[in-house]
Amino acid sequence: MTIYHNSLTVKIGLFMIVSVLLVVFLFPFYYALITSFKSGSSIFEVSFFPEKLTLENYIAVFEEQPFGKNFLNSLTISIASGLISLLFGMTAALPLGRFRFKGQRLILLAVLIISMFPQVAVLSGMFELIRALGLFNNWLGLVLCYLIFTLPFTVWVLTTFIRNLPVEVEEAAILDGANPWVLLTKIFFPMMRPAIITTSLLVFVVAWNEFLFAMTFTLSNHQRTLPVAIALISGGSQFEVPWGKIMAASAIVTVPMIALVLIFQRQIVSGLTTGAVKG
Amino acid sequence: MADVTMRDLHKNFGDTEVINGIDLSIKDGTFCVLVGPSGCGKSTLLRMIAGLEEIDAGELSIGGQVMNNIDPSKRGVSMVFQSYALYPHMTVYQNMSFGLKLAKTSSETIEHRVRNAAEILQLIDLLDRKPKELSGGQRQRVAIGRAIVRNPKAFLFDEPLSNLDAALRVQMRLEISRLHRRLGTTMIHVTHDQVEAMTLADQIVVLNQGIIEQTGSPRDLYDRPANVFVASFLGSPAMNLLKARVDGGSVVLDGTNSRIYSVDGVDRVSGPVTLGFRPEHVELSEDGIPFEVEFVEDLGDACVLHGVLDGGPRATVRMPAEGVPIFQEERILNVIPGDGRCHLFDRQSGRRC
Repeated sequence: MTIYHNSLTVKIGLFMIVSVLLVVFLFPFYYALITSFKSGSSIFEVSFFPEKLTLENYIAVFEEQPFGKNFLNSLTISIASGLISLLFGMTAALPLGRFRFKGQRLILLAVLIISMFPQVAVLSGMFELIRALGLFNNWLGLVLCYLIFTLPFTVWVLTTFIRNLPVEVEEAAILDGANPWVLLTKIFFPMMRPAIITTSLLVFVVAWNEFLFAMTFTLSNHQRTLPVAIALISGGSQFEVPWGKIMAASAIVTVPMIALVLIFQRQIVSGLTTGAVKG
Repeated sequence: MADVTMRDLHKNFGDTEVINGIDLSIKDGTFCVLVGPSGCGKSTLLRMIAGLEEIDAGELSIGGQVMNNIDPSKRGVSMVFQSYALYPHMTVYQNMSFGLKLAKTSSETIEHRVRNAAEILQLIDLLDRKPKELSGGQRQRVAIGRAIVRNPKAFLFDEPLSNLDAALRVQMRLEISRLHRRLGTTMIHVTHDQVEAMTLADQIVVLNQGIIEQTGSPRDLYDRPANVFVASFLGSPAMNLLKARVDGGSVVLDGTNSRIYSVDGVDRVSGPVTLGFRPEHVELSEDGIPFEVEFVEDLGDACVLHGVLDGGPRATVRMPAEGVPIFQEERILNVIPGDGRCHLFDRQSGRRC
């Protein structure tokens, strides 16, 4: 290995590959960002370094529709989905990961199968359900929908994680006098922090980006979430696509994602259990 | 006083009986070692004492109090696990104080007890470290420290040394011995390592398939094994167990004409038996039984010879290293078990005659 690392050609080759990949991945974001700062006809001129920056589009996005409300909707729904998914995921994963009982495999399999249905397949059924529950055009209805698709993932990841936690740590805590609540809060949660943060973050992202259900189950401008609101941003006439405003809105949508990843990146990566048992 | 007493303990996992009627009493302050092959139920028995496994039938009492349905944390026992089972997100200090905190002990008492235990185990400088920053031996000491601070009536050790390398194991064995002498608390130690059992124990309990084969001091078990199982389990290399029959005051090995005289107990039995003698109790003797050497294992201080006795059964012999030149493969030696060093077991039941 060391021989290859030291070779200059390999280093240059690696550098080139990484550069190409970075450009491919980052260019669309970059272009969206600079487009959002352009105005009028300059949007349609191809330039990689804009001469004139304006916040016109950003202001328009908030003025011409209830974009602030939409942002708040998305935030509420995503956070609620993440937390509820975590609550149900943990309470399901603990028994599934720790105890043996009849039908355990069946339950896990059923959970997995549910997650495999394509969204469109359950859309009309969900519509009836949401209407029957009186949750149409209500953010709670969307949270319910998102749980259906995120819970299987959460349950599986947390179950696997719990299975890999050493039982002895738990038993040591029991001998130390920990009751189930202390066990959960002082032992399980801290040990599972990386898994908990990662899964709830992914649920958050799924809920944040979801379009189909949000589109179908909301009616009024004030109940919409960001992806739908962006798609429905319209220009002055039906022949005009307001690229500037769309790009500005997209930039706003992306910011919370980047912030979250930056805040939690250490937790996402860390393996906390090392040192609990041998090795 | 914290005697640990078991009366007719039973435990099943589904249809399998794991613990099959254990009667045992361990006196206060005793170092008791539960030993046996894997799957014999020794760990299960320990976990039943700790309260981590329910007791299906029978009675367990610690210090005169029946513990069958008492919470694990209220039994007054501390356990050290094979995998250490430290809390990975807590420092050494937090690991050791966790149980005391849950018991609402005052912070001065906690501080005092943790410092005290850390001093005994030389952990003072490591109190602020997390488990992942410690070596295997240090982690093991933290686990023991966590057990000490609770001032238990009895310590339970579940194969605590089996994850350590050989040199460290010997050192920790000594430390545990020293700890027992210093604290004088009852200790129950599970191991499959017979050297650990012999060196640590005041009282050894040999378990096999959920029952006690024999219990007693290490010396008792080595000198007077109660049956073939204990005889073969303790001692390394294992005791020679050869088919033989008692005929007119002496023992004849099956498949040979060789006779062994001066065996204790021959006057009490006749007919087929199992003759046992330890490899280290065999002596060279002019009028001994011819022994053809097949393999030689030179251990430095001694030689272990594997071979055939008088064209019949295989046997193992351990000789002091002084005789090395003559211990060669294919050589025939004349050997005899030492006076009073033979054991006779019933061929059917395996019990000592």
